[in-house]
Amino acid sequence: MEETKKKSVPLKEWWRKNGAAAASYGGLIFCIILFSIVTPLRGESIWSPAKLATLMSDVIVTALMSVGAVFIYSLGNLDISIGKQIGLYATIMVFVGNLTGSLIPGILICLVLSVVIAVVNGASGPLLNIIPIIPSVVVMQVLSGIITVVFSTLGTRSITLRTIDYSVFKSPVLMFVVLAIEVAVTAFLFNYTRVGKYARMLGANKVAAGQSGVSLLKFRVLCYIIAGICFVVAAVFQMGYTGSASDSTGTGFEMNIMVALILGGMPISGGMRSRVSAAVVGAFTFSILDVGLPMIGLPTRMTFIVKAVIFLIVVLMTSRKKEGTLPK
Amino acid sequence: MKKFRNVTKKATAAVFAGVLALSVLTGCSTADGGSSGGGSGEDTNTVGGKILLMSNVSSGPMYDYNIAFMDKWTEELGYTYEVVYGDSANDPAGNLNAVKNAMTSDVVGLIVMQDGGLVDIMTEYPELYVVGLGNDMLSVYSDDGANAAVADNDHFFGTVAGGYANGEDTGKMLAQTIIDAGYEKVAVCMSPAFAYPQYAVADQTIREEIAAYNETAETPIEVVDDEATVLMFKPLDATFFNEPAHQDLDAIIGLCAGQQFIYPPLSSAIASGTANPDTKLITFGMEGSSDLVADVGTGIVQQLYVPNYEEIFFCMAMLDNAIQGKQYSDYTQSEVLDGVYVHISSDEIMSNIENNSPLLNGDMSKSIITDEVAQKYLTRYNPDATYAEFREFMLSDAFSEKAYE
Amino acid sequence: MNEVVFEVKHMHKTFGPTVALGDVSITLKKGEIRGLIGENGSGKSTIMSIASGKQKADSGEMIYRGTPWNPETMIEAQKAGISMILQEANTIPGVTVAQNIFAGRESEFSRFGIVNMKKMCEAADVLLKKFGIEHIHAGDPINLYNFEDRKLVEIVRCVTDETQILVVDETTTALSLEGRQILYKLIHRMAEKENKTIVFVSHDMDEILEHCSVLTVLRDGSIVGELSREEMDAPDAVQRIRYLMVGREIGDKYYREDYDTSHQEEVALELKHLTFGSIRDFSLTVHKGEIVGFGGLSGCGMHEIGRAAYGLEKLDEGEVICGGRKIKNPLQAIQSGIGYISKNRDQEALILEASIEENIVLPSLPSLQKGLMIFPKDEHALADQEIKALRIKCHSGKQLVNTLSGGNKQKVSFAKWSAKGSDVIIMDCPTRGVDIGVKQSMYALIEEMKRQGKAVLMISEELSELIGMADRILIMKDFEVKKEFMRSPDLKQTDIIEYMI
Repeated sequence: MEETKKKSVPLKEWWRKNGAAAASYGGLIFCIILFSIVTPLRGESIWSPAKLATLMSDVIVTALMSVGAVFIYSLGNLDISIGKQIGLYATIMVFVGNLTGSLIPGILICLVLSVVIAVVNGASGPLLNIIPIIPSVVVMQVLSGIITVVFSTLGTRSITLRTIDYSVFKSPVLMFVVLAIEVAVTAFLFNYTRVGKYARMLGANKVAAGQSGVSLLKFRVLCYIIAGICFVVAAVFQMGYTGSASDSTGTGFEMNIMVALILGGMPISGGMRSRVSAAVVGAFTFSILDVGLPMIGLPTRMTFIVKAVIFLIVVLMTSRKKEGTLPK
Repeated sequence: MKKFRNVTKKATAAVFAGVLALSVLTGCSTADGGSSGGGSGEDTNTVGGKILLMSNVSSGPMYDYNIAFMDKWTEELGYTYEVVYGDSANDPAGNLNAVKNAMTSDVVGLIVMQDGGLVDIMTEYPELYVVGLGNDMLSVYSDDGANAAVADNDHFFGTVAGGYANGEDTGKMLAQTIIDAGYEKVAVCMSPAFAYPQYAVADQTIREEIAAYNETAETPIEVVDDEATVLMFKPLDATFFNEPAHQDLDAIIGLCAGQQFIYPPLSSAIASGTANPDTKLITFGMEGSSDLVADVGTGIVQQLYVPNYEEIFFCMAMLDNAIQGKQYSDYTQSEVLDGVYVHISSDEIMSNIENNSPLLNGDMSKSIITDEVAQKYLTRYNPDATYAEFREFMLSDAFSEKAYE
Repeated sequence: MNEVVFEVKHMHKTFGPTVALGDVSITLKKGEIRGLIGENGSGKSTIMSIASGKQKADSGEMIYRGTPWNPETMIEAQKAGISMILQEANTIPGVTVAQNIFAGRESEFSRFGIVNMKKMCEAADVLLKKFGIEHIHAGDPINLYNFEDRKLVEIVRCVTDETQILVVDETTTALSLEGRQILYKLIHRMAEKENKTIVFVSHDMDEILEHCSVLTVLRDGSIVGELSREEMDAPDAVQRIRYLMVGREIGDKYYREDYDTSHQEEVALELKHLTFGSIRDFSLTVHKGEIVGFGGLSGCGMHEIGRAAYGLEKLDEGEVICGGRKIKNPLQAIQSGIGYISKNRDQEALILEASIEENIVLPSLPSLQKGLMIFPKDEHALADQEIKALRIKCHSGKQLVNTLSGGNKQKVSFAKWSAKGSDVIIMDCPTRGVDIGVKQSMYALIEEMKRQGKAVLMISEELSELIGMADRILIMKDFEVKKEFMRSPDLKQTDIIEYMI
């Protein structure tokens, strides 16, 4: 008995640990293979340089944001102010860029601001003893209000960089390099330092982590700060895409992040099975559908439905009873 | 129990996957049919390709008409087409993304119904021919507009606005309507100025014109408040009618899609007695539902100004000429064309529109864009056609309510 | 008295490759209290969970009151007279005690589809009183009550007039001492006065020996012995049962054998005039090399003392001092060399979805850090060293903790602090829900800690282990220390109990 037990347990356990990851990698590989085979039949190719560039520009903002958001989601938290943060950062970068003629001051202001927002989002939960989604709702509304006031004062719905050349941010190579660097840095922080390890532990069991000497307040705020910096990087590319920001920039991005992370096999309640790669895999899966579905002749209005159905399938396949709780 | 749940879950996933596979397959096959039907133009020396229509609506009479028009004319002229949906808030990045994702190697032309990110789209796809529809494209034609660079791009052929591009003209038209109707107390509501700056101009023009009229008039007209009540993309608040200044209105001028944003609160205010039962609504745009259609001309909505959807012909002509390499010889510079209003001011005109026009039903056999019109204005058929003539046609009564009598 | 009520013949049950039951046959008679004892995984719970409809056997047959018995659900079994009180919590949160007691039987109190809550509450109160439970009120929301009290509510729900066979599955570990007394009274009344059958599943030898009329011992899914009341009363019964359960001689040594209460002079942990919650002005000094035991009923305040010493309670007055430093939160406690093993192992001591290694190294991460980075090889080395030292049964440190048995889980929570090298260990119910074999090794470990000069604060609801291990025992009641006992060979449980109740 002991013998048979020993042999089969590791396999089962491997699946328990990595099942969601395997399923999501499988999904991405399936999409890549499917589009590689089907698109040439219709005289297109997903591997053409133009399409790869499109894919890169479609995926970059979501991927950069989601990688950062892994730190928040692994805590079992949900931040719905992300979209408005991106909107505000992009607006500041364009506005300050036009004032000063350089993007650097705007980016620095955004970095400072992101830390402030991270502290508000991360610290108010434990300090005031409320679930963390509440402060993020408040932050979202405040940012949304600021953005509305800014644009109605300016008397326009969008502002554009005038003198600064932003074409460099359209380069797929730069996008890839920045994404690779961000993934490398965050993966290091997530897997080989205390912040990441503690984030997962706090997500899995706050009480037990606390009794093992993990400060909820300190590390939650750190996680939000790391995420916030990633959001600023994402905002640079969001802004650099068209050199502009509008009152609707970023709207709904937090939902894109959630969809990307779940497609990537991130447990919705956070904890030990959280992975940085979930963000990348999920964001690419979603974008490859964005780019690929029209290429196999699916009308644009259908793509939303198809993506929703695929999302549902993934959720049904990867969800487990115990982990069915929603993040807070 | 647990087992059962698992089975249901897997079964549901399987069913979804099946439905998905089927829908993708059918999606493919219909699209296949479309493209094979289109490519074989009658003329041997015509150029084909795909035209994208970036729409800012996804339902309603205008959408239905646009689809019907594209169905008919892309096939007639040997093109295919696809509708893509612009960002719901006209965000530059969103629009660019929509175009990028739909881009295939055979796309030759783009009709845009909103202007965000236009300069980026045209930088990204310099070969693409672009033309605007139902939009005054202020960002292109104002000096410091975000897309001002596009105005001089030789691949951009201007735009036809949804009605007057100039707010002053709109204001004068509406002031005259008020004076002619004999109203004595009116209110103005409008969509926010940051999205529609021309409406703020129109609002002020109405007030100036009425003030000028009052100097000589026997019974002066009162326009309540100092400026229009702003509707932030949502219906007028019911409390509007409780304010003392808003009692006993003869009419409300809606500088917006008034059937959507003003009609519902107004009709319920009339029903509940908070508003004068004879209050009329003068507004823009047209909704397709039968009760709203029945109301126009006799009920609350006394006058409706509808930019004629058929002006999409402007886009088709400019794109086709360019794609075939035969642009009007006298065309030099892109511009904004005023849209011609279909002015519905009576029940009779409304039934004309209902029965004799394609505007509510997308029936292209009732269209004013007949084969003769195409023969006359498309350079592929008539090499002598000029932009001057075409422009005159686009601005003529051929597109007004008179066309459907 | 000897009438057979239930029979199991040749029952098999496997979970994947694990054989839970292999060809088990057992016969239950009316009026007996049948003990089922065995280590975790021996199959003792499985037999009765099949009998009560919770799961299905792979093969074999059951005969209940002379007819074949194959219940589909636990409700069906309960209606037919076989009720089971489960190990895990099974109350419905957010409703009243009465609604919990009469869950599924609301129709008895309803007219025209409307449930008469007042009537239901009155009936529930009568029922609670009948069971001797005075402190739970039927009209209260169940959430007002703690885990132990909820268990009592479950018992009331399970046992009805129709109940022929009551299965008590490891319930006592989840009960307070008062709760246990209520349960013991109940099973004796049912068996002796009402001629019902009780199946008492446990691995607590003391209570089995005290209450059962006949005992069946299981090991690895098979019955390995059956003891009558006379055999249980034999002087070597404990050794014999242990031998049967473990399958090998575990030796006589179980608790500490020395009675040397000496310790170093140096103070390891000092609680000065603590006032918080219901505790008033509590002081205690623990020296290096000293094992201080805390005993009492579960609501006596001893668990709170343990939490306070680790900085988990917000103090109104007083201070906790360790290594010259004031302890205000767990982080400071850990830095000062204190380790804490919570009695709620699965909720507070361990992160179940994490691996053994991740759990063990968690408190040690700050010291493993080199620069910013923590090298995986350092983590492996530390974890493997502890896995070896504590003989944690697993195929690797990567195995998830929730796949381990209770005893091995508890070893992991010990390993966290031995890996950290803590000098003061606060352990709250360290052997709750743990097999004899593991218990024995834990006691050896605690003894070793004393020898190394570590201070141990041992909070336990099991008097026998306090007597067996502690240098001095503080007995608490109503949030005060009522009596202090020094370690002595003459100390008996009966001497202590009177100060507890």
